[in-house]
This record gives sequence, structure tokens and C-alpha cells, in this order.
Amino acid sequence: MQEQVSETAAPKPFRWGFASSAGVILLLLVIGDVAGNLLSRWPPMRGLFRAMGAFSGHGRFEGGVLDAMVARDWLFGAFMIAAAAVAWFNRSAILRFFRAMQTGVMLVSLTTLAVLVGVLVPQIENFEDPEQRVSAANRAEEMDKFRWAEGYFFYHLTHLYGIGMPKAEVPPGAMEGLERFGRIYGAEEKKNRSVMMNAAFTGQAKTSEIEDFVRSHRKTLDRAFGICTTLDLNRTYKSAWFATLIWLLGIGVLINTFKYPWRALLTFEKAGFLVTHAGILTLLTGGMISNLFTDRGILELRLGEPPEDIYYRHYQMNKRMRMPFSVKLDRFARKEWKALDVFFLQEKFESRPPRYTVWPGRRIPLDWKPDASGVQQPQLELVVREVHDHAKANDPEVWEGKVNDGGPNMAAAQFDAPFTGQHDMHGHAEQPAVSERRSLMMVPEFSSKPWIDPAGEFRLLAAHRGEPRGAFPAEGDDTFATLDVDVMSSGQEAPVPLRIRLGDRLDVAGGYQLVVRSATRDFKPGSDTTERGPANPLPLFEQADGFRAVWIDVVPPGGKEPERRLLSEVLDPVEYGLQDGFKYKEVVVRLRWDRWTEAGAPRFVFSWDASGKARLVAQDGTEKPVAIGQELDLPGGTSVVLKGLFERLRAKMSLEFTPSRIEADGFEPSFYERDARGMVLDVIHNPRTPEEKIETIRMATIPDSQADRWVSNDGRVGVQFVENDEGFPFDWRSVLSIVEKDASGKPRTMDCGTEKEREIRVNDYFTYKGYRFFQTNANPKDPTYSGIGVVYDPGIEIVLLGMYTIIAGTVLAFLVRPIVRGRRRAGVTA
Amino acid sequence: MNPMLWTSFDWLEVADGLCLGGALMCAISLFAHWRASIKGAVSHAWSSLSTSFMALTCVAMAFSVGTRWIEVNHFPSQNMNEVLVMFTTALVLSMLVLHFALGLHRRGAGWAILDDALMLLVFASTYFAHEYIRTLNTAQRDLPPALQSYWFPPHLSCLIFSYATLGIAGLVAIVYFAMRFWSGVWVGGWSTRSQILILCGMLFVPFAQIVTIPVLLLIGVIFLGLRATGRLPKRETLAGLERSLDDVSFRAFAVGIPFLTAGLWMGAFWAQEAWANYWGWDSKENSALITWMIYVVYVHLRMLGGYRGEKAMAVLAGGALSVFITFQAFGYLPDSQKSLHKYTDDGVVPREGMSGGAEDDSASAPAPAPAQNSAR
Repeated sequence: MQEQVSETAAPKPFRWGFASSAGVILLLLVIGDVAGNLLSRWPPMRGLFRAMGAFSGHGRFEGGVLDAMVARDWLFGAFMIAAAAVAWFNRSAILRFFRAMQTGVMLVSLTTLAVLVGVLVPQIENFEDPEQRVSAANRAEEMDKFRWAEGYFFYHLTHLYGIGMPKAEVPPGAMEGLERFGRIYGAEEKKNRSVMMNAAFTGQAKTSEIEDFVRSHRKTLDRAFGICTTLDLNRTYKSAWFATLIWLLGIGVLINTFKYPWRALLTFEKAGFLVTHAGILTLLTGGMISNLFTDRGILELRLGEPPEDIYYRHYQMNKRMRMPFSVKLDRFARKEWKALDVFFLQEKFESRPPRYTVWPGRRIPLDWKPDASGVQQPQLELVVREVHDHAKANDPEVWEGKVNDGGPNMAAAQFDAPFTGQHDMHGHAEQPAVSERRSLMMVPEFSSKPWIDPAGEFRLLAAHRGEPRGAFPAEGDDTFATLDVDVMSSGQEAPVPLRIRLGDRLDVAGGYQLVVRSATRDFKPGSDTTERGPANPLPLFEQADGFRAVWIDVVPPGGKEPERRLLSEVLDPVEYGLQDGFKYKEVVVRLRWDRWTEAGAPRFVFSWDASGKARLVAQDGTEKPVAIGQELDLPGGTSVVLKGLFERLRAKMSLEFTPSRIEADGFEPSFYERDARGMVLDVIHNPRTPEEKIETIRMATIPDSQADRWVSNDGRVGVQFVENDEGFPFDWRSVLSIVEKDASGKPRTMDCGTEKEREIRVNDYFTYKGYRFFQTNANPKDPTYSGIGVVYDPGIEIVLLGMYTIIAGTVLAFLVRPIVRGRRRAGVTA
Repeated sequence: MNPMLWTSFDWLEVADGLCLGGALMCAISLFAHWRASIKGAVSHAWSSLSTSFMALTCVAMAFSVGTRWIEVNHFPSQNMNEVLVMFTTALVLSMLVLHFALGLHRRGAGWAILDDALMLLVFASTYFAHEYIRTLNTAQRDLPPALQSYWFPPHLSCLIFSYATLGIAGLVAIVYFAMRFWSGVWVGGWSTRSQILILCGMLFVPFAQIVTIPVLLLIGVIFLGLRATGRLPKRETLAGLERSLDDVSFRAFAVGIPFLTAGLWMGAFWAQEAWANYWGWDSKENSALITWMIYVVYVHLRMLGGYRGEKAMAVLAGGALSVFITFQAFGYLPDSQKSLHKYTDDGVVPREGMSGGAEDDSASAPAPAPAQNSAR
């Protein structure tokens, strides 16, 4: 009887199930979230963090921790001690809980769910900054992003397989243009443009539906945003509940890894298990260190400026952090992709031709026609033979062609002028002025851009035949730029050019209107933002001659909300992917600033005719004859001398290509030189036919010269060799040096190795005293600026070790172990 | 030989022809193995032929990837067109590896039928995937600086190979559930609730029309044929087959998971070199991590909990769904709008290498914009 009583009295250990484990874990998360938030404000913990250098990279001990304690803090401390005591006295139950398979699975499952929450709820901007929260300053912006992202997601979720989604076809008018385009640039190019147009047509209609969806569910979405903010779901990975979950996961892995005796663990059978779990523990340990100590930001350096020791934390200008040393930018260069623009000059395509990146061996078939059997064959093929990083050109040897020598009838005027590198075919300002004189070729049929005096005293345009006075803007014409507008759903074949002036309201296709709000000649990407407009307070034409930008409103039909856009002449919205982020995606607007018609320095037209009679016409109508060898009568001190006139320009460039200089340790000093690029191009007429004819051309990316362009003899095809600064660069590199103050407070450049060792590139950073510096951005128009990412993270090595160990563990467990076991088994059977 | 011949050849077309031929061989082989299972004499002649087609398709696909590599002058995974070609190549290669690694065709006629069916599905999937690939933009894109890393090919290759292998493991799980459904209909033994659940799962997963519905129909036709000839298998036989499918799916998983792990963490090694940030909580990284963790759950359920059959298979199918979302549908996820990994989308310029400048107006300044002048 006594025995029976004791048997019934002995409680059976509780068997953990999935639901009970999940319930306890969720309860622990709630406790952890509250405790974690209190802990981060608890004076002893704050003091400890400061002393350790958490989130800052360098620790400092500040006393007075206990003085800062109030009654609530003492109470919290007592709670922590009590909780620890309870845990200690119930350690066997806790161990049993964590050792249950159900608990392990639920820990992994809930962690998976937590990561999923972070994917399904858009994380706030800069969420990696531990201090970042939704506040009054960013609430509206974050809520707007939340609405759109969730609307986008739910719209697609409720339209699986595209059922119910609007579909749009490319209109016949546009297809006709595409066909013509395809005949020149090939069927693949045509197909790709057609795919993009279809996507654009459908995309706009879809965007409209998503906006309606967001509007009709606005209240629900706003409520959801509020809940997400309260629960820290929009900064999941920095929340205290997520940290608690990772802690619990780590404890679970630790307990379960070492629940086996060592002898059992150190066997081949358990090797995969042990290594994988050891890797996970290592990774979590490193992650914890990273989470506690990491700080990151951007260091903005410029060539020629003194060393800098302040970086902007988390890329925010109001958060500065001082490093215990300074960094100086010794060298910097950004190199663009080398590319070819191919123009079919008589086709008059207004849409932009494809731009081909070049490399040795690249073939570009063009001008397709069906052969006798009806198969499309290219009539022209460009084959890139050589590409060089360093090219120098002497003045071209030029002469007058004969009437029937087969060359193009391209008239040109040759001047001796300062080399400015001011304009290429797109009117971009390219390189800073250098005090060097070069041969300036002006070919009106090829380019209608003016030559701008580097001193800013005049503008010079070349005109051949015709009335030169017609080249001046009409009286009262205060337009200063052209907007190329393409409304995708309108079916127009090519963008429509519209001249603009400030305040204009222009009707464009699809019922849209464009309103020109403001403009600047001195665009500063940091201070001139879409919302704020230009920061320069001066009237437009008194501003410095920098990069141009225009602010417009895109006003949709139907009284919908207008969209403010910033159009920069150096950022193509499509090439840079900005278009994708615009509200009215179907309206593509590009800016072409007109440096000739804008108000500014006096205009002059240099004109000549077939007889060789040349004159310089000023805008007030006065004209002066000009003879070869004579300096043009222009204002200011810049000397421009007429060297020659040609009706049929023939030129032979003398180009010299030099190889890159690479030092013994692999450092390439020539990367930092600002040489033009060189290329040897084969132009193959009628390729792979008996009439095949090959012209080999040497080209260089030197603006204002004949070296960067080539025109076929019949004047039909033009090729321009450019450095493509409209997308991502090919590469950018910086060489840094470190400056520290010595005991006497004098700055001293530290020995951090060779230039090669101090060079940073994308995917190759430089480390000093735990700070890692990596190439993060640059400004294509500011060759002195280098944006350097700064990271202080002592957990990196541990995390990487953990990751390598996990890989080794899974290979051991899932590939090596079964193979060895299979062989052993086969051996036993044999 | 003219070197142009290799590069100008449309190897995708060649692969498609081989896929059609291979699918035909698989169908004949399947039929032959079925007959052999009845008569008891197994011949692998047709099976060898379909395997040869698989190997040739693999070679043609490798040429397709190679010629594209030459054409664009970098590892061809810069847009969705290129990535999908990599995937179908990995799919065919993975099936070939699994064919020999699992050795199903050597285990008997019943197993050989399963092997034939899997190969048939892989041939069909590859062919239809190529049809879709042809509708995508093929424009060459320059590699941004961050992608010019030695991690690019191994990271992509490991992940895509694992996606293919784990996709095949998921396919086995789908075959399992399709079998369960039809055996429930014709043989019985399963609850109506479980039947409805399976049917809903089969009909409402993404891309049901090209994966689950064809499998469901194919198995349904086989069951109808068996029923018409009075050869419907017994419950015990089916239970044995289900156990075998479970075993096969686990083996396929075991081949794929080390590659998924390596691919996932290689991405972290690469990010660490590019931005000294091994984990940026980017939605693509997180989606890949979710996939990996689903498989971690699967391993623990199977190896510690002893889970077999429908529960383990459901987790495996969930893993395959997560692979699909990570690979193809992640662009629709709410947090993916600012992802650094959207470079495979048409019309999206990659943001790799651009962490942005110090911003006091980050909302209006897109990441690829030139850096600001610091306002100090």
C-alpha cells in the first residue's frame, strides 16, 4: 500500500510537445523583449556598454554608474537576480525543456518565422542603426513605403498567374518603329525593346491598380503599420525579442550539442553533427559580438584635402563619429566601361541607339537584310580587335578629300584652341580644363554643340553654308533646355522633344502635363534634393557653370496627385534605374540642356561656304571675315585660331596606345592616370560574302577630336567611342594613408605598407586598428571625391570561421558520411 | 573549324531538341519497365538511351552557358534570362548526378519506373522553362564592380545546383502526394480531409500549372490505367513505395543541402569582402536563410523525431516552395523593394557596390546617384 502511494505520488516528467514548447518560447520572447528594452536603459548595463565600446568602436570608462540608479533601476536589478536564481534552481527542468526535440524544432521554426516577418514587413530605412526608430520625423515617409510595399505584395498575391491583371500590347505605331529599329540593330535588339515596352505598358496599368488597392485599404494598412511599429516588426533584426530568440536558439544548440558524452561525439558518425553545431555556435557568438560592437558609416574624402577622422554613422550626416586616427586620400580614380555608340545618320531615329560595351573580340552585327534564301544577314559588322587603357593622340593629319574618292562629304573647320574636353556628342561636361592647346575640329553635320570658352567669355558654334544668323535663338526665346518625353502607353515611336522655360506647363501624350518648377546650372547632389529644389539662391543664369538639373511636376490626368521629379543631365533615369522608382513609370522624361540657347556668354557663329569664304557672326549681326591662320575676334583672352576649312574632311589620327604599368607587387599606378582609352576596331562591310571589305580604325576617347568618332564613306554610319559614365563604373580604386598624432601631438603618417597594401577596391578592403575601409561610391563628375565605407566589427572573423565550419559540417554529414558508410557496408557484404 | 560556328549556334535550340527526344525515350523506357515489372524481365536499353539524351542535353546546355559567357564577356548570371539558363543546366546536371548517385534504375523495375518518370519530368520542365526564357530580355549588361568578384561564379553555381537538386527532392515529394491522392481515390484508406488538403496544396502552390498539376494528372493517368487493367496496387505495396519515395527524396536532399549551405555562406563571404558586412538582412539573403532553416527543421524532424512520410514530405515540399520564392518570386515580397539583389529584374539597374553617400534626404536620393558633396 505504502509502495502504491509513493508510485502515484511521483510526478511523471512533463513531455514537451510542439504547442507547449512554442507557447513557452513565445512567453520567453515577451519577457525577453520587455527585459531587453529595460536592460538597454539600465545604468549599469549602459556603463558596461560604454566601457566596452559597444556601437562605437572605442570604449571608455565613465564612473558614476551607481549614482545614476533610481529606485526603479534597483528593482529591475533585484528582478534580474531573482530570475537568475529561479533559473538556477530549476536548471534540470530547463535542460529537459531545451533537450526536447520539439523545443529544438520550434526554436528553429520560430526563428524562421521571425526572419520571414522581417521579409514580409518592410524594414525601416537605416534599421541597422540600433538607435533608429519610427519617429515623427520619418513616420509619414515610412508609412508611405509600408503601404506601397504591402499593397504591391497583396496585389500580386491576389492575382496569382497574372489572373485579373491588366495586359497591354505595344501599339501598331510603335511596332512599326520597332521593326525599322530591328532592321538596323538586329532582331534581338528589337525583341528586347519590345519586351521592355510591353513591361512598361503593363506596368503602368498595374501601378494604377496597386495605387487603387492601397487607397481602398489605407485604413487597414495604416493600422497594420502601427501594430508593426509597436511590436518592432519593422526593425525586426534589431529588436529585443529577436535577440531573445537568437539567445534561446544558441542556448538550445549549445545544450543539445553537448548532451552526448565526449566519446560519442568524437566519432566519425557524429563528426558532421558536431562540426555543424560547433559552426552554428561559433557563428552565433561572432554575431553577438558584431551586434554589440559594430559601427558603420561613410567617410567622405577628397584628393588634396587634409586627413579626415570623422565618418557619418549609418550614412546620416547628423551622426558623426570620430576615429582614433585620420585617413587621407592619396590616390583615387574611377574608370568607366568603354563603349561604342553606333548611329545610322540618315535613319533619324530619335530614340536612343543601343550602347555597346567593348572588349577584345566583341562582334556587333548591324544593318540586317535578307539574303537570297531569305535569311537575315548583317551588312555591317564591327569587330573589336584591341582595347587599351591608355591612349594619346597627336594632332590629326587632315586634308581635303576629292569629289569621288569614296569618302563622306563631311564639312569641317579646324581651329587651334585650348583643350577643354568640354563636350562630347551628348553635351556632357567631361573633364576639368588643362592648360594645353589642341586641334579643335568642328563638324556641324556630326554635332551641333557649341564650343564654350573655358574662361566663360563667349560661346562659339560652327555652321556650314546657309544663313549663320538662323543659328541664333530667336529674339525673346528664353528656352534653355529640351525635355525628351516618352509616354509609353501613347504608342509614339520616339520621344517627343519639348523646349522648356521656367514655369512652363506642357501637355504631353496620355493626358499628362509637365510643369517646369525650377532649374539650376550648379547642381549639388548633396544639398539639391527632389523635395527641396535647388539650394543655390542666385538667379539661374548667374549661377556657376556646373551640372544642370531641372525640377518638374508630372501631373497625371484625372486630378491625381502630381509627382515631383528631379531631372539631371548626368543621370539618365532609365540607365540609372530611377525610372523604376517613379510613381508614373510610363512617363519617361530626359533632360537635354542647351548650352547654346540658355542665357549666358555672348554667342558667335563661325560660318563658311564651299568657296572657303569664312566669317565670324556675332549675335548683334556684326560679322567679320576670317582667313586661315587668323585669330578669331572673340571677347576675353582665349585665343582661337582658324587652321583649315574642309568640304570633304579626310583625317588620319596619330594615336599611340601604351600598356598599363604594373609594379612588381601588382600595384597599377597607371590606373590613376587620366588618359583616354584606345581601341582598334574592324569595320567589316558585307561580312562573310565575296564583297567583304574590312576597314581597320584606331580610336581614342578624346573629345573635341576626330579620334573618338568614325563615319562611313557614304556618310550613313557613325561610330563614337565613349567612356560610359551613365551607369555603374567598371572599377574604382583609392589609395589611403593613415595619420596619427604622436606623443607630442604632431600628426605623423603611419607605415601601413606599400601602395598596393593601402589600395582599396570593391571586394578588397583595407584594415587599420579594426576599422575596415572599402570603396563604396564616387561621383562620375567629381574626379576628386571618393566615398569610403567604414566598418568597425570585431565579430567578422569569428562569424566567418563559423560559416566555414558549418559548410564543412554539412559536407561531412550529408556527403562524406553516407559515401563512407556505403563503402563500409559494401566492404562488409563483400 | 570556324570559331564563330560555336558561338553563333543556338545551343538552347539543340538542348530543346534533345529534351524532346529524351522525353520520348523516357516515356518508352517507362512503358518498357512497366511491362517488365509485369513479366519480370527487366531491360535497361531504353533507360540507357534516355540517360544518354540527358547527358547530351547537359553538354548542349553547357555550350549554351559557355557561348553566352563569351558573348557577354562575364559569368552569365546578370539577368533573369541568363540565371534561368544556368538553372535548367543545373537541373539537367543534377538529375544526371542523382540518376547515378541514387542508382534507382539498378534496384528493379518499379524503381526504374520512378527514375524514368523523374527524368521525363525534368526533360519536360527544361523544355517549357526554355520556352519561357525566350520571352525574356536578353540584353547584355555590364557587371557592376561588386559583381566582379571571384565569389560570383561559385556562389551562383552552388545555389543554383542546390535549387535544382532540392527542386527534384521537392518533385519526389509532389509525386508522393499525387500518389497518395490517387491511391486515396481508388484504393482508399485515407481520410477525406487529408485528400482535400493534398488537392488544395497541389492546386494552389505557385506555378501549379507547370509542376503539380501535370504530376497529378500523370499519376492519375497511371492509376486509371492500372485500374482499367485490374492491377491497382494493394495498400501494403503502396506503403512500401511511399517509404521508398521518402528515402529517395532524402537522398536527393542530402546531395543538395551542402551546396545550399555553401552557396548561402559564400554570399556572406562575398558581402564581407565587398562591404565588410557579412549579413545585411537583405530580403534575398533572408529568403535564402529561410529556405535553409526549413531544411534544418526537416533534418531534425527526420533524424531526431523519426518523421517519415507525409509530414516530412510536407516540410520538404515547403522547402522547395521556399526555393521557388527565393529564386523567382522574391521581387514581390514587401521588403524586397530596396534589395541589393534585384539585378536580375528587367529594367532594374543593380545597386551592388553602392551603399550610398551620407544622406540627409535618403528618400529622394536613390542609391546609384553620385555621391554628395559633404556639407561640412
